[in-house]
Amino acid sequence: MKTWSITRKVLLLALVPGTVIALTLSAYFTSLQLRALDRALRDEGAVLATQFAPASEYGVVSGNQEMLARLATSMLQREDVVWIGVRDTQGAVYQQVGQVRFDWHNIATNPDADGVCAESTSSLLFCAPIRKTRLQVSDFPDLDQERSGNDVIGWVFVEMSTEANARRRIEVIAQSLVLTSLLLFITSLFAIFIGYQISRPIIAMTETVQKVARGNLDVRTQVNGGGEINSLAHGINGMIASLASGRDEMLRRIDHATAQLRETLSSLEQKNLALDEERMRAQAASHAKGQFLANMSHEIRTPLSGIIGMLALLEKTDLQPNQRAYVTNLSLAADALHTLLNDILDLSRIEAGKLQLLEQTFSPRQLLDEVALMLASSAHEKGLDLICHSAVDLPEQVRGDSLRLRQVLINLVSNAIKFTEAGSVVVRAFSLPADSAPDARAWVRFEVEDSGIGIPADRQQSIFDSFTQIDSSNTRRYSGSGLGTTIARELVQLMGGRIGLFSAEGQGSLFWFELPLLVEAAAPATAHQALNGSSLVIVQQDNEGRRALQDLAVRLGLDVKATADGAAVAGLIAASTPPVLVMLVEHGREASWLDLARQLRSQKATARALLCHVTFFNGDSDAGLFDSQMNKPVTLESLREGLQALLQHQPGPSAMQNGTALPAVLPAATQRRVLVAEDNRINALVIRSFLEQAGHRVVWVENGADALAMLARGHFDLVLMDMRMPQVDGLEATRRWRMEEPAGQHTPIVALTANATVEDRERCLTAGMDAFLSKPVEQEQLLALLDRLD
Amino acid sequence: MPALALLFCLLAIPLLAVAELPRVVVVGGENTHHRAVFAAMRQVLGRDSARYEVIYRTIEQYRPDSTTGAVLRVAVGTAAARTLGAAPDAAPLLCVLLPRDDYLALPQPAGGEMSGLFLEQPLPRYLALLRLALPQHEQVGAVLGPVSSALAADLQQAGYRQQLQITTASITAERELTAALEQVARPAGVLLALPDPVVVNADTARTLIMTAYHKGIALVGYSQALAKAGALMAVHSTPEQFGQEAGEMVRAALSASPVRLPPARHPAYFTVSVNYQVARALELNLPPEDRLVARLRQQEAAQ
Repeated sequence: MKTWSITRKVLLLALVPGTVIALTLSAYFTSLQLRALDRALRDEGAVLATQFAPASEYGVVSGNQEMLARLATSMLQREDVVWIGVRDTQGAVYQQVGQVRFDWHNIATNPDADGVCAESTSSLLFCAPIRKTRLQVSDFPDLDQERSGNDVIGWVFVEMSTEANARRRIEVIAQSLVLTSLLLFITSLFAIFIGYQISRPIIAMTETVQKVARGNLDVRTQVNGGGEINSLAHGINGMIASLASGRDEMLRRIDHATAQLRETLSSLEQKNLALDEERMRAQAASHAKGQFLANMSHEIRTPLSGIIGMLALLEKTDLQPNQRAYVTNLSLAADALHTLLNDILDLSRIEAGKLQLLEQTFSPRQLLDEVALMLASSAHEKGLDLICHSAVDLPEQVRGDSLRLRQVLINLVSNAIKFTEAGSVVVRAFSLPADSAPDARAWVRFEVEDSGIGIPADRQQSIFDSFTQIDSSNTRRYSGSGLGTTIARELVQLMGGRIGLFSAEGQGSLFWFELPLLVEAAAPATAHQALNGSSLVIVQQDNEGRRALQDLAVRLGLDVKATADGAAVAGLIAASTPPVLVMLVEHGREASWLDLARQLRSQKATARALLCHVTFFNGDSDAGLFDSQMNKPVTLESLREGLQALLQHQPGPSAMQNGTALPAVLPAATQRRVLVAEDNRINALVIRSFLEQAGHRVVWVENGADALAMLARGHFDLVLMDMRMPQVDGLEATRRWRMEEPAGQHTPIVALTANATVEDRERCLTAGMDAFLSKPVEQEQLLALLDRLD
Repeated sequence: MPALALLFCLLAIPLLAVAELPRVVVVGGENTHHRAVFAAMRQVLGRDSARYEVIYRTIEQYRPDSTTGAVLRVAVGTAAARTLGAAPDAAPLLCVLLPRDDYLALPQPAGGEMSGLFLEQPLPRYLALLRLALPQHEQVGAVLGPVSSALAADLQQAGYRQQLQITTASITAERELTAALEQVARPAGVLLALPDPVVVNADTARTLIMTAYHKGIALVGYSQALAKAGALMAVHSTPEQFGQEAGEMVRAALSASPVRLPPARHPAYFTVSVNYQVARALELNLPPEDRLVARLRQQEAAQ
């Protein structure tokens, strides 16, 4: 119905109720009339029968057939009466007139309420009893004997034909139908007329609106519907007119705007041309600047190299302690300047497109180890573990520019160390699945992960831009040009790789880069014969470091067991085939495995295990407790040699090889273990170099708290304590140590101070110190002090 | 009715006060005809109220012992007559308003005297009326039933005296009535209906009347009711006339000493009722009722 036209709906609305009402009323009144016809016939039959009954009494009583026949014949004159019968109670027929259609001898005389005792399709048979009329005959009624019993002496029957009634019914129905049809026809004509009166203007308006929708705004609809339809037509015409005027206005504005746009475009074109020229000019200038920068850097580098060389020579000369400190300072500054110049030069070369990559065969694992060894000391100085993890699947030989790869790694690892205050820095390398590299090249992924300050998400995009550190305050706090990551990115991209990072503020950073490297066929790293099959137990808390070490040991063919739990070590040793090599790897500056080592030594089952203490290059291992010592970071080579030496129960040469400045080893009797607590790095380096040159072992800490932790872990022959240090100063540290120091033991503590006033001396002695040295410290003074300890 | 009883009681009080007056007990039914008969009797006897007392008892009220001392008993109607006739009282009994046959059927009271005033008119009176009213008819038909058939000889004799030819037919059951009528009425032109429960009753009355009408026969009956129902005319006595005559019989009896009732008889006072509508239908011109009664009385007085 929703899709019906309005004409159809109006017709429906007009016709349906009318039709329903007409049909209902017609049916109702026709049925009433039909019932009335039926009723009338029945009433007439009943009246005739009841009237005929007393009239025929005398005839029945007297047996007067003639009289009865006369009566019956007169009754038969009535329309619808087709038969009259009279009979007495004994069933003897007295009279009948007309054509009998019922077996009236056997009809039960028990009429219904209408007096009908039998019924057929075409007639109704009425009956009525003939009763004896009783008359009073005596003036004194009590003399009459009471008569009782049935006083019905006979029955009269009147048959009424229903055929005439049926005809009348048909006539009534026909008249009703004709009248209803006529009325409906007239109503329909009227409804159609009204429907078209409504729908025609609406259809016309619809057509107009459709034309308007197709864009013809010149059409108007006719206003001839009357009433609301006229209002609607007026409204539509007004709307079309307003649309037309709106369209004209819009066309006018578009023309105007187009003209303006054209002007703007031509002006923009001119500006573009000018800008293009400007850009060309700027590019040329930039290129010239880069060229200039490269030239200048090179020009500056040459004399700087000379300065650095001269400084190295100068350091080797005999200098006063303060002079030595100045030279060291100068040397560090020159190195920093040299690094900066190199960075600028690299960047400008890259940007100027002058950097040429050199293809050569190298081992990425070795490269990683070298970088780690190179930067280990700066990490260790901050107490950071530098873990170098080359996965087992890393190709042994590849072709590529090892120099530039090394530079990228150094930049990233240096940054990691620079921005990390505690924890560890992990350098790892592994092969990516083969499908990542469709050609013969294998993709190798390098990751540098630290536990440092992290990079906020909004700065991660710009971290690779030139001269960018995460904020300006960092530049002051962390030295550096901010070029490291930029150069790394440029180099990685130059090598056809990709670079990125994951980081969260305060949770460390992970810088990664992936390079496609051509894999060179290389002899597989064969296990070392001396070590092959030997049992090795690695005890290390740091998971990454433990796995890295485990991977190295596996390459050497060792039977490796690793654990982070000290309590499990004895069991692992027992389960291994002797001789058992045990590597106790410390975390950071800690020396947490000393107790474990003592425990292993004291137990019979583990006493024969060969213990190797792996620490920073601090030389703080107890020579009596461990069979050997190994320095972090452990490389494949240092591990092999260290373990070989351990098997022969000889001190490994790794400590000597890994160190850049190798101290002369004194006889064990005169070698001292000295703790230097000094927050000034240069002073500390100077003191350290003095002592190590004399063959002593030095452990350096930067504050009083670390000094206390070191003292608690092992024996020291001498402590050099700066008075002023961050967090816990020398005086406080001394006071605390004196309270904690085991009874019967007295570690000599010597104060280092620049203010050698009487009050300072007093305060030092009161705190529990034994002597003091004025800064700058001289080597002779130091050595004399050590001599006095004997 | 209770008011009427109270009235009788009040009327009896002065009689009781004087006491010892000879008492006449009238026993009858509760219907108005019997009361009317009693009222008429009282009116006749009222003149002698100083000499005797008249009381009315219904049959239910009547007890023989209570009437002890009654000088005379009057029974109104057949039921009262049977009740009083069977009572052990020795006082003379007058039965009023009962058919002659019923009177004759009563047992004779034990040692008591009994008399009656019959309901029926004497046969000569019917025939005299016929002679007076329908002088052109010399033939009279009559259907007799088991009761009235005993009168056949008397009827013939009386007809002879009036110079009328009487044709009778006897029936024993109602169903024979139509045939009997056909037999006697058509030749006679006049039909005399005499009281007989088989011939004339509530059921046969219509047949009689209609047959008479259809055949143009003049029907003469014995009651006003028959005349009203469609008979041409009737000779009968009213309750007042019965009461008057009974009162006169009582007074006559009491006037003798010892008390002696006159013999049983048919009523002497009577009335004639004519249905003039029927008369017109039969195209008869009848004289007024009063004149007929007067002429009849004159004839009876002359005899």
